[in-house]
Amino acid sequence: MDEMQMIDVSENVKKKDKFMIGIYISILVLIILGLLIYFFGYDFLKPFIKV
Amino acid sequence: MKLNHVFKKINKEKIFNFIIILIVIMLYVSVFSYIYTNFRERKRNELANSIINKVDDEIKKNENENQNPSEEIVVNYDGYKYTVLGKISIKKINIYQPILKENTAGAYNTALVKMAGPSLNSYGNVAIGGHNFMRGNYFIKINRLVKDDVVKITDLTGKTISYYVYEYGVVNKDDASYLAQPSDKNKRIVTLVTCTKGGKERYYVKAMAK
Repeated sequence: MDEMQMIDVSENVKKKDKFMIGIYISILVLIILGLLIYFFGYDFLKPFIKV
Repeated sequence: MKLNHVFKKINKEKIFNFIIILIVIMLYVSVFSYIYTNFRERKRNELANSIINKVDDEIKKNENENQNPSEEIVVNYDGYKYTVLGKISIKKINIYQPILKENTAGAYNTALVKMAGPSLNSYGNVAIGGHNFMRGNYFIKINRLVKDDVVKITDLTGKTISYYVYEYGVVNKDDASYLAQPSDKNKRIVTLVTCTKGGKERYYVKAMAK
């Protein structure tokens, strides 16, 4: 009977989903931030860049 | 037994998550380092172009006045100050850069530098050094130069001389034989030098005016 008992893994699945959503968001942030800095950030960052 | 299996699965997931986080961090680092390198190169290009413009202005001035033309000018741009001797043009490898007098790391990061020898376009062997990193604005492609390729050097008097490649090779970093002056004092030679193998060796190209 012990082997037949159900194990609730729904909590793990929820955690996993949250984790993956966090990863997707961080990649999205990277893409948006990267594009913004690449195309519009040069003039702002120019004084801090050493040749 | 089943519980044990679940724990093993959780551990596997933890490792998997850790790897994913590591990949994301690496993505951030590589994206921002790419942007930084790109910006640095943009700024360096701006600086080099501004120096070239000043060189052109000085050449025009010297041509008009025609009295005691200066051999060097001091250029200030965005906090950088360099003494400029002229410019170099190598069409084959798309190089059009100023030649600086300062033999410093900052000067090497900005443009090409006169390492040794007499004034530009005068008799003797003038050595011009340059880095070979970043995107081709330095001497990264000088290994593509072969015999009879043309290197043009313009000094501040406006005199442009074409030099034709006649020799190239690799030497140990301690071997400075490429800097030697020619035995024939009526020869104009320019030697282009850059590092190879992480600075352990030097690649040089020698060109002579006909």
